[in-house]
Amino acid sequence: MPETIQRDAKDFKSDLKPIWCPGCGDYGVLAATYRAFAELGLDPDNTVIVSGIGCSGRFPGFVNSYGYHSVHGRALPTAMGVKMANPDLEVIAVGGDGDGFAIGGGHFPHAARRNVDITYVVMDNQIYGLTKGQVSPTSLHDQKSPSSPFGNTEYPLNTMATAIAADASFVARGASFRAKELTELIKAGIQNKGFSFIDAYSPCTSFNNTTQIWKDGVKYLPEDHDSTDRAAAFARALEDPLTLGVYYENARPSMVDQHDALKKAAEPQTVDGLLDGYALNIKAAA
Amino acid sequence: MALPDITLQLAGESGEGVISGGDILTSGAGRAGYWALTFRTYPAEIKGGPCMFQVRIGAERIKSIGNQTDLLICFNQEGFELQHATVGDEGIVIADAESCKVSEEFAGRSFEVAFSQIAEEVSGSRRGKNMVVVGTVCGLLDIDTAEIEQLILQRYAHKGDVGEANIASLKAGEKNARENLPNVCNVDKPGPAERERILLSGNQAIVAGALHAGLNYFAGYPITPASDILESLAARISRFGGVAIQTEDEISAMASVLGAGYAGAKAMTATSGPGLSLMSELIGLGGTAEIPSVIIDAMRAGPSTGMPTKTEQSDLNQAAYGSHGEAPRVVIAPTTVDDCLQCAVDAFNIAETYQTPVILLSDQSLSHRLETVDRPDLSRIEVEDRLTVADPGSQNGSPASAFPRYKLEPSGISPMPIPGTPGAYVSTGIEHDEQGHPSYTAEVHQAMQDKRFKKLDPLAANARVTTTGPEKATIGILGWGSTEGAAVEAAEILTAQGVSAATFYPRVLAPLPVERIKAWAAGMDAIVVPEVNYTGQFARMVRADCEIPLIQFNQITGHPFTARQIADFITANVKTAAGAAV
Repeated sequence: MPETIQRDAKDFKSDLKPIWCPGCGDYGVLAATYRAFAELGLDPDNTVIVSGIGCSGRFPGFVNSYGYHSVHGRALPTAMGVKMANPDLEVIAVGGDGDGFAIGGGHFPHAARRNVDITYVVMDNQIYGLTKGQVSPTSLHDQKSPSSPFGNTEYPLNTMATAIAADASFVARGASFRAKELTELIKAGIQNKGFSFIDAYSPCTSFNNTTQIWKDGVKYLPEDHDSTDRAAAFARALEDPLTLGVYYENARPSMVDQHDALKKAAEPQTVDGLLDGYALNIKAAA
Repeated sequence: MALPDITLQLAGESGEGVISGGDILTSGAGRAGYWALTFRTYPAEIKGGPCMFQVRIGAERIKSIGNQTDLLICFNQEGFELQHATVGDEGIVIADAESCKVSEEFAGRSFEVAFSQIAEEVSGSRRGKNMVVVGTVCGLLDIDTAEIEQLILQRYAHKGDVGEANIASLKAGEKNARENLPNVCNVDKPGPAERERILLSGNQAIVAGALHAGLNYFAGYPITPASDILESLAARISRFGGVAIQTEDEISAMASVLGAGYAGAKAMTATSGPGLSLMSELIGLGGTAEIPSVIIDAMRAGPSTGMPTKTEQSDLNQAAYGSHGEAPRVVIAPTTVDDCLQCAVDAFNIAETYQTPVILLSDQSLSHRLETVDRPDLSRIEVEDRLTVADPGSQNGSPASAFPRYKLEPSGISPMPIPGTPGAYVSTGIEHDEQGHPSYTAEVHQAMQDKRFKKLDPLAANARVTTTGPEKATIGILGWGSTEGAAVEAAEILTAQGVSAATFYPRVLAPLPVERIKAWAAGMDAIVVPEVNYTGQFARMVRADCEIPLIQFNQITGHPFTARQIADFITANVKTAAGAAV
C-alpha cells in the first residue's frame, strides 16, 4: 500500500469543468464526494468511480481518480466486476433515478442482496434531465411532463423501502443541499464493508425545480431511530419521503468476504491437473 | 472385412440413462485406445421426451459424426421409430426384447436383447438397463470392461451399492452379447497411441483453455447449451484464485466482465444466442472503451427461443455486426474440441493484445460433443498479456490531467493503466480524445474509429487458418466452425471419386481475412460454403468483401452436417467452369 498522503477536497478535482446547469444539485453531491474522499484519505490511483448515462454519467470525469463511464443503467454490475476483480480498490457507483431505477432497476436488488462491497450514490431529481424533462420512476403521481402531458399516471418507487427489502447493508437518504450531512453519509457508506445505498435528493433546476420545496420540507430521522431494526427501518421508509438519515444497517459478510473464503478453502489446482481428469490413461508409445 | 470405424446410436427415453450410458461407453472405448466423437439429441423438457446418443468409434481420429448408423440400439419402440431411418443398408438393430419390435426391412439384421430383464436378474433392479446396453456393445466390439468398471465405481461412489449393481448389469450384458449375438461389429483394432489422449467436450475444453490463459473473473447466466461452462467454473475457479458469479441476466454478466477487464482481470462470459442479443450494447462499449473481454457463444437454433437443444451456426451476423453504430470486435470460431481449447487461449490473447471484445462462436454440437483428442502440451501454448504502463508518473496529491489512455499510436494500441497503479483516467463509451475526455469533433471521431478498427488489421493477415487438399482443385470447401471435420471428409470422398477437392477454415472471421481467402480461392474451380444456417451468413460476408462467386449449401435440421451430405450436395449441384458435372 502507498503511504498515506494528506489530501484536500480540491485534490480530487479533475481538470474537467462540470457541464451541469447552474444550481444543479449534482454540484453539491460532487463537492460532498470530494470532501468525503479527502477526509477518508482515499488514494486517487486506488479509487474507481463508475457511472451510467444521464447528467450523472459525467460525474467520474470531474473527479481526479480512476473512472468508468458505462452504458445506461449498468453502473452496478460494472462496479461489481471492478470490485470482484480487484477487491483492494475503493469502488463508488453513481447514477440518477432513471439510470438506477428504470433501465438499471433490474440490477439494484441483486447488488444489494449480494452485498457487493461498493457504495452507490443516486442523484435523485425525480426527472429525466439529460433528455429534457420526462417523468422518471421516482416522479410524483400526477406530475406533468413532456411524456406525461395529462399528469403522471404512475406512482413513485419508494427507494428506501426497496433497498431495505433487498437487504442492502447500508441504506441512507441525503440531499445535495445538506452538504455536511451528505459528506458524512458518503463516508459512512464507503466505510461500510458491503453494499451501501445513498439516495441523495439532487434538484434539477431546468426541468423539475424542486429546490425550494425540498429545502423547506426535509427533516431528519429521530435520534432514537434504531437502524439495525429492519421493521423500524421499513416503518420509517413508509413515512415522509423527505426524511434524511441512515434508515437501515445490516452488517454481514460482503461478496468479497465470501469469495475470499472460497479461495482460501480451495485447494490450488493447475490446468494440467484439470486435464488429468479427462485423461484416458492410454500409454503413449515410447 | 473390418470397417475403419463404426457409428453407434443409443435411442430411448430421457431418464432411461441413454446419455449416461453413452458417456461411459465412449470413455470405455477411449480407454481401450479407440478414437471417438459423439453427438447427442435431448429434449428441451426436464422429464420425458426422446433422447439419442451417437458415438462414432474408430482406429483413426474421427472427424465427424458419421454418415449413417451402423449399429442402432433401441431402448424402446419410440427409439426405433425415430432413429431407424438413419441406419445404413447393412446396419444392425438391437432392440429391447420387451418393448420394441423392429420392422420387416431389418429382418436378418436385427436382434433382440432383454435389457431390463437381464438387469433385473443380476442386480434386482431394472434400472441397470443402460449398463446392459453398454455391456452389449463391449461384447460386440470386444472391449475389455475392466476400465469401464472403474469408471462406474467412480461415478456412483456416493450412491451405495448402485455401482456394484451397475457392474453386474454391465458384465451380464457383455456375457450375453459374447454368447448369444453374432459377430456383427467388425472394426479395425486401434494401434498403440502415439501420444497421451484425453476425452472431453467442447465446453470443457473452453474452460481448460480459458484457465490456461489466466481467466480469473467469470460471470454468466444459465442458458442451454452454455450453462455447463458456468457450472464448471463455479466448481473450480476458486482453485485458480478467481471468481465465478451467476448474474441476474446476461446484461449484468457482460457489464461486470467489462468492469473486471478494466480492473485488470482476464474476464469471460458464456452464453447462447438470446444472451448474446442482450449483451450487444455492451459489446459496443467494450469495443469503444477498448477493454479486453471474452464472450463464448455456444450457438443454438434460433430465431427467438428457437430450438434450444439443437445446433445451428446462426449467430455469426449478430456476433460480427450486433450493436449499434459500428463497433469493432473480433469473432473467432473453433472447429474441433481440441481447437476449442486453443481458440479459448487465442481469444484471451487477442482480447489482451488488441484491447477488444472477442466473441468465440461454438455451437451446441461442438459444445456438448465428447471427442478423443491428443492431450495438449500446455507448456507450448503461449499466453499474452495486455500492454500496461510501466511508469506513467504518479499523480498523487495534485489535481491531475487524466492519463492519455487513448493515445494515438501507429499500431492503434495504447498502453492501458490498471486501477490500483498510477495512471488514472476515465474509461468511456462516449467519443473521447486521447485523455478519455468527451469530444465530438469530426477529427477526433475519425481518428478514434481509425484507431479502433485498424489496430485489428494484423489479425486478418496473421490469424490461424487450416487447409487440406491441393492449392489447385476442382472443388474448394470454405467454411467456419464445427463443420470442418465433415468438410474435410467430404473432400476425401470427392477425391476418392476422382474430383480434386480442398478445404479452407479460417479461425478469425471478423476481421475477415479477405486477401488470404482470395488467394486460396484463386486456385479453386468452384467454391462451396456449407453452413448450418438458413441465409448463408458467412457466404454473404465473403461474397461482399472478397467479391468471389460462391455456392451456398445451407441446412437447418438442428443437426451437424455429415460428410456424405456435403459430398452429395456437391456432386448433385456443382458444375465446374467447363460446365461438366462434378
